Amino acid sequence: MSHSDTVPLNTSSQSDIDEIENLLVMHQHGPSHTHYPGSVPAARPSSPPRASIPVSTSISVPSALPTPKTPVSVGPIPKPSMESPPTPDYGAGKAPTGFGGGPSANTLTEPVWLTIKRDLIRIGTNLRHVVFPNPYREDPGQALRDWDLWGPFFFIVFLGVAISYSASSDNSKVFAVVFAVLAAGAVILTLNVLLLGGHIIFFQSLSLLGYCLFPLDIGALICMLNSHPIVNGIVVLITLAWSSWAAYPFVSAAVSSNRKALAVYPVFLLYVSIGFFIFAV
Amino acid sequence: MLLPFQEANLQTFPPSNAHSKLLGSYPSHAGEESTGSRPQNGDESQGGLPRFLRVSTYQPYFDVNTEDVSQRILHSLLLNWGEFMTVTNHNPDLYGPFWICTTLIFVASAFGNFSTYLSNSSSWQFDIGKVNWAAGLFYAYTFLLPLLLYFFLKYINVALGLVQLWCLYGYSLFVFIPVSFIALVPVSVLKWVVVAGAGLISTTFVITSLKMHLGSSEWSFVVIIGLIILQASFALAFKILFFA
Repeated sequence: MSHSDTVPLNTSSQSDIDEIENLLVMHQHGPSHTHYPGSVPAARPSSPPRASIPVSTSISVPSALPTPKTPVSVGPIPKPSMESPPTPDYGAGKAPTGFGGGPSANTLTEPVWLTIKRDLIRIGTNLRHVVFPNPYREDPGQALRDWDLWGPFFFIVFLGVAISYSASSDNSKVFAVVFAVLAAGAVILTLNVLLLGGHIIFFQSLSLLGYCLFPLDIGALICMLNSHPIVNGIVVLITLAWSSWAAYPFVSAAVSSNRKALAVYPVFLLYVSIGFFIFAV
Repeated sequence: MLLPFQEANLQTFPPSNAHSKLLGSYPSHAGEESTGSRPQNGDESQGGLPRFLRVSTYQPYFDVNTEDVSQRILHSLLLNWGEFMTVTNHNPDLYGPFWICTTLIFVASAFGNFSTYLSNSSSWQFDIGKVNWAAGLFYAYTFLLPLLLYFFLKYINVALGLVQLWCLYGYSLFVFIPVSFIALVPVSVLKWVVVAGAGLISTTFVITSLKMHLGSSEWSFVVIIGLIILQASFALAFKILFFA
């Protein structure tokens, strides 16, 4: 059970084995043995290098930020008061773990509610940074340092359900079309910026375009509950403008200035078409 | 007199020496390294993905600026008698065709629904089938038909590049966008006239752009007639499906 035999396992399973070993060790040696999993030398290889977002090292303090890694992810059990910050190479190996960086928490042994709460807080934080009018609104290049895909997923599904709910026929077809348009649209918009020679990170851009759907979600909710066409039209226009306002700085900052219109126009087209679906269906 | 065609690698799709265009002062060269989407940034020498799946392979086809695109759109509307092909000879782009096609899908389905609403506002419901039909028809027309044309032109030994045909057909659809706006007016005759006019403009655009490259063999006459028929049936389908 030594940690020096580095059998080249899959990243997550090696870390699972580490964690189980450590739990057994802690149990065997009792509370006198202060053997925190955080001090185990990282026998497992660090996670595959993803495109890393510039994460400041101050984020490496454990319980500060949530990380919605898949349930098999492991890491140091967050004990902020007792544990010193992780060793440098451990921290460096942990930082670029996708999903916006930050140390991944031990989601196997904590209550489910805690995991969900962490994700919800992250979604709220990202919303506040991206969507809401905010005088301290961050520089678009750093916009979603902590990107995740749960928020966009929830917004897209909610939008599809809201639009298909108020359709009078062919509800499932409507949902399928809206979902396909939104999901494929986000991917195609990101590819469009990349092909025009822009500098963005793929998943960060997907995440941001998903978060900018939040105003349209509000509009869809209002239109679902209300059926007066003029009010619906005004609401859709306002939320459409809000969504476009939220997404514009990010996309326009990513390409060179003589192609800005080429990159921004498809974003506008997507939001206008979704706004039209909200209004008309 | 055939215009000399640059047997540029951009005409073969995907290009075989994409990187030769990216070397030099091309800004997208740095952009390739920052893409997190493809798992190729671990080790440069490995080259994770096959070449046809990488973003950088297709970047030469999107090397246009805003004024290039608007200039090409103006060419398609004003029918500058074959200048379009010389303009796009060295730099055919795929941005225009794809986004004009996508815009047209949205515009046609939205305004088609709106025009049925204006005809009988009492019992109207949004017809989502129009979106599906629009997507199928426009994407097939813009991307499949030039492919077939390319193979046929190769058979009769005419040197035209595939990407250039895509570019041509994509921009030829632009005229249907303003026409959709006009066809909202619920007067049946106006709808027919306007869609027929759009069909005429796009057909003329395609034919005049292709004619000087087709030579004067008997096949070229067949090709021209065939293209006219196809474009006319496209305009007809457009009218019937969306603005009936």
